[in-house]
Amino acid sequence: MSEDALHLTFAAKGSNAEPWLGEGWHHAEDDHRWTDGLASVIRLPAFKPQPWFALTLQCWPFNPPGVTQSATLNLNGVEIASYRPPHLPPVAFVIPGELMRTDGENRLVIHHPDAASPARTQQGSRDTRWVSLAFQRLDVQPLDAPLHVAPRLLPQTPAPEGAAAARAVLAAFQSLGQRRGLGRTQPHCEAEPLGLLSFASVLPENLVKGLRTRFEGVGDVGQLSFVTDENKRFLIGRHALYGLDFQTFKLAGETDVVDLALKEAQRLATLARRFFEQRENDEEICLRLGGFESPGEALALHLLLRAYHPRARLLIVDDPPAHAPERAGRVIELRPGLYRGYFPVATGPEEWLRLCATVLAVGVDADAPGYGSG
Amino acid sequence: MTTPAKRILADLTDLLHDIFVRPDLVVTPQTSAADVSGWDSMKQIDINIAVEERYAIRLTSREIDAIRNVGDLIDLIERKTS
Repeated sequence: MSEDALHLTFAAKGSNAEPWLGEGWHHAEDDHRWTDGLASVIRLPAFKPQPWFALTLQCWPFNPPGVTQSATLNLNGVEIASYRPPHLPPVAFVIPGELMRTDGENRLVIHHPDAASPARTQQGSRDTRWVSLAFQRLDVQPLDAPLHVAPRLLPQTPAPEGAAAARAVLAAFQSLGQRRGLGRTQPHCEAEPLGLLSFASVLPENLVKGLRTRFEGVGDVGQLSFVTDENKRFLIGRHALYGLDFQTFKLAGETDVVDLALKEAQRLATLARRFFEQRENDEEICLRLGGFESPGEALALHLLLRAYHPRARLLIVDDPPAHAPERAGRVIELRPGLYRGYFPVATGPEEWLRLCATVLAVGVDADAPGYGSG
Repeated sequence: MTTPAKRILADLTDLLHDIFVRPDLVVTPQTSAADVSGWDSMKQIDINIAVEERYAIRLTSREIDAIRNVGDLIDLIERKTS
């Protein structure tokens, strides 16, 4: 019997990976399972035929001082990826459909030649195992159109005319991260999206965690603390469980912090509920993030977002590459719903408006035949 | 304006007085965020939470986005509590 998709979790709690594992694994621990030795095997099932698959991994490397892990993925005898696992963000790899078997099993071998023993590399450790990667999750799912297959430079859309139109464009985006001020541009244009992630920053891996748990516990007041901003003026909220920092717009020294924590906990719970309602209402959700180290990390986050919000768009904004400064202010569609934008030369409201309007001008379901031919 | 709508307006007036700490605030069905200093997205969330608690209802994202003034909110509460 062949599968459409497979989602494996490796943590002891809720683990479903056990029946699929071959040699090269240690026992499951609270939230991960270490690889054992120099290679680890996963016996994936057969999958229904698809033109492309995405293999998404969430694992972290054992990197004591002087040791850097590398990994090579081999599917049915063919090398599909070789990379240095990042510390937390998930990474995704695109697999051509022809490599995936539609009957029998698909043998995935992860070679990790830099495995090391904690007892030999960390002072005081008695752990004599040879470990390399701590696996948390693996997903295999069909991919409508892969990353970097004919990415296309989008035609620039003019900034919308009129305050209402500008507001509508900017309010469609929730800004993650703290770089160069979409979060400042939005209030300037009276566009203030009511979003869990608005006026907030969260690392991609924490966003993924929130998506998977539906931000369970985000309304727990015990997870909240407050610090002052860099100007010592306003209080910034911190949610310990999700690493979510958010602006409270409350003046430090003039605010009852206990009362604020109760209100903010309630507000976060309401916003989290709304975040998931957007999916249930089939509303589009647009997010903006800073740069990623690799396209695979961006693809992985996008795939996860699309699993929860089928119409989600993700705009990653970077500096223009040194070899192509003319890309400033332009947007490249990497695959339907995933865009890489380049900071404009000037970063005023007009420039942000053009960037956001360019993304919104593309149909979110642009994966029709012929995609990428332009 | 129907009697239930008048009652809701009175309730909302109290609620907005509390949220904005402005007992002098005059609230009519035409009142919108633009008319009240400090009625921003953060305050809008406070209002949504207070309305949900007061009337034991849930407001969806789509419903909240469609609210343009107090009159729209009154209509929505009337619909959801009838």
